Amino acid sequence: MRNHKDALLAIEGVYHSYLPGTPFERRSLDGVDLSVYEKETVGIIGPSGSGKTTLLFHCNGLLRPQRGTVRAFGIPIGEPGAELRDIRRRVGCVFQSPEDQVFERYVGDDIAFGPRNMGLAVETVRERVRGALATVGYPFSFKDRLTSRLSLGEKRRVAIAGVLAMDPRLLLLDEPTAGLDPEARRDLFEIIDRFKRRSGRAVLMVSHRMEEIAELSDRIYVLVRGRVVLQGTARGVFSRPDLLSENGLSLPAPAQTVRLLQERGIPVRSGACSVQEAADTIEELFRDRT
Amino acid sequence: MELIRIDDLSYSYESGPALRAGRYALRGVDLSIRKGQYIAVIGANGSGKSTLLKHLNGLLVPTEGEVRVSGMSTKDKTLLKEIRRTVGMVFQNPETQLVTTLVEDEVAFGPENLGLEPEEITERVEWAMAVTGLRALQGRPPHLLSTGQKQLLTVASVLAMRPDCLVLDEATSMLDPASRKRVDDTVRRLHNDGMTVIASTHSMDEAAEAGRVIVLAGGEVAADGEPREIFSRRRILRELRLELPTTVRIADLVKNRLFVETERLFNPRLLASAVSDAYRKGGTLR
Ligand SMILES: Nc1ncnc2c1ncn2[C@@H]1O[C@H](COP(=O)(O)OP(=O)(O)OP(=O)(O)O)[C@@H](O)[C@H]1O
Ligand SMILES: Nc1ncnc2c1ncn2[C@@H]1O[C@H](COP(=O)(O)OP(=O)(O)OP(=O)(O)O)[C@@H](O)[C@H]1O
Ligand SMILES: [Mg+2]
Ligand SMILES: [Mg+2]
Repeated sequence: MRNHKDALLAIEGVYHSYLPGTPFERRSLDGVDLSVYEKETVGIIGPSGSGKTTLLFHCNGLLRPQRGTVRAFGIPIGEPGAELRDIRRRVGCVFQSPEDQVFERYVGDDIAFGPRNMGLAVETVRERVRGALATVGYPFSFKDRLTSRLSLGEKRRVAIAGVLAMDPRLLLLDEPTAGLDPEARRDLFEIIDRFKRRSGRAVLMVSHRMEEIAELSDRIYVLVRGRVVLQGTARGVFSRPDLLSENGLSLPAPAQTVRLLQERGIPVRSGACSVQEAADTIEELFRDRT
Repeated sequence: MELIRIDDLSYSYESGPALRAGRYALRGVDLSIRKGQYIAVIGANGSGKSTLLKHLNGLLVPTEGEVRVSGMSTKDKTLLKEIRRTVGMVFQNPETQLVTTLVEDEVAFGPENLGLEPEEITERVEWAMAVTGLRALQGRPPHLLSTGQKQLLTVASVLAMRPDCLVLDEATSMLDPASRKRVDDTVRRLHNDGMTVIASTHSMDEAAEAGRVIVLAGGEVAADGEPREIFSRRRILRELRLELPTTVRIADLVKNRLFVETERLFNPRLLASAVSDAYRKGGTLR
């Protein structure tokens, strides 16, 4: 068992309400426990409005826990004296809407914003911008584009580049592939995979695309009405189709295929979550018969 | 019957010929869209999907060429109201579309602008809230909703207008699977009753369910055909940096076991039935 103390991110008993004390008060988090350890990708799934974004905002200090604790890199977020600057440096967040994140006039300045704020040398900032642009598939000259004149997918790629340029240690991603074309999506999968393999780093990602969550996550939390109702590996979580569909979620297409085969009485093994696993399961079916 | 006709459409966001030089978001697009078609528009980021869709209800007017909706040119400002009555559009970014302070008012906004009878408005609002699952959010201010809830609301408000032609610009990208299915099912039902649907998406699984797929690349139409046809052109898909639907990718990996063209197997149901057929027939190598 991993020691809770070693977690890069440790969330315990967190409650949150929007607009407390008003007629619009809403409980958005209802006692959430969650931890993220180094070298892992943790996925969060849950129906719209279940509190996923609210939870991510607690991980980088945008929101303070109204009850419970959030520790990132050992720093208690929201407690008096906590160094929020340190948190913001180490925790990078790609927001659900790129419009909320990309605000400089030029792409280059937007990506350089974080590194400049960290007080890096001009040359270093330049290299960071060049590297981050290349990572999301753009040439260095893309830095001169006006951010107001980008398509939405282009803007999202710039937002991702801006966060990567800060070289964070914990990467928070809120629906990062919405609006990305297939190639950019595959690139992002690789970025995530490479990122989480480095020591002292981890990824926490929210998505409505079950295929992605299944493919990328080492562990998954299912959040419903502000509570964690299920957690485990992709295999474990996606072996509970009834619980998922009761809560507005579904199986990834590969797992759906296997389930439909079983319903037709075909003796296939359960548990396939990715394209490759589903293909292996089908191959096995034919091999075993001959 | 032809609903929309696009002739040699080019569009540049820059103004003045000097600025425009070489910077066109759309170039030489010719398309004919028949009434009752279900069309998916796909293509890489920046390929011109949103720019094309915004031409369909006159939000953008051609720099060169012409777009006609039921014969009405979008360049004629006096026809815009009628064009927007015919073509209802859900934009890519939900934030830019919300105008009222209550969820139910937001859904009523479109029908009210159509000048319908109050009973008809109430009925449409009720219907749109029911089919999208928005009832649970009644009484709440739109700007205090989660992003997915906002997106669902923008879809519901356009559905309530019951346009002849529904244009969706990645309109389900942030919905949870159940909401996405509810919207898909509703759109499918309206389509079966004659509504024309034009939807852009980055999900090849979704595109495969359309009757016709238009592929944009660099502002030009790079391919146009039935999904099966488009997805059988593996090399072109790779060149255009697109991909195959999830279950076609699975099928490609086990194609020696199957008896059908793998590009037909674009959803779990189709793949499962092909695999079980092959298994029951004693699947040998083709
Ligand atoms: N408001 C704007 N001003 C200037 N150029 C723009 C504007 N919006 C988009 N562009 C440019 O026009 C081209 C087409 O953009 P468009 O938004 O139509 O692409 P898209 O296919 O919808 O992309 P995405 O998949 O990212 O949504 C891109 O090169 C883009 O940078
Ligand atoms: N600024 C706000 N003020 C009041 N309530 C809010 C605000 N933002 C979100 N909420 C509400 O809090 C709850 C949780 O919202 P949150 O944005 O965390 O959901 P989410 O799981 O990220 O949903 P989605 O999948 O749609 O992005 C929802 O009921 C939402 O309507
Ligand atoms: Mg959210
Ligand atoms: Mg677009």
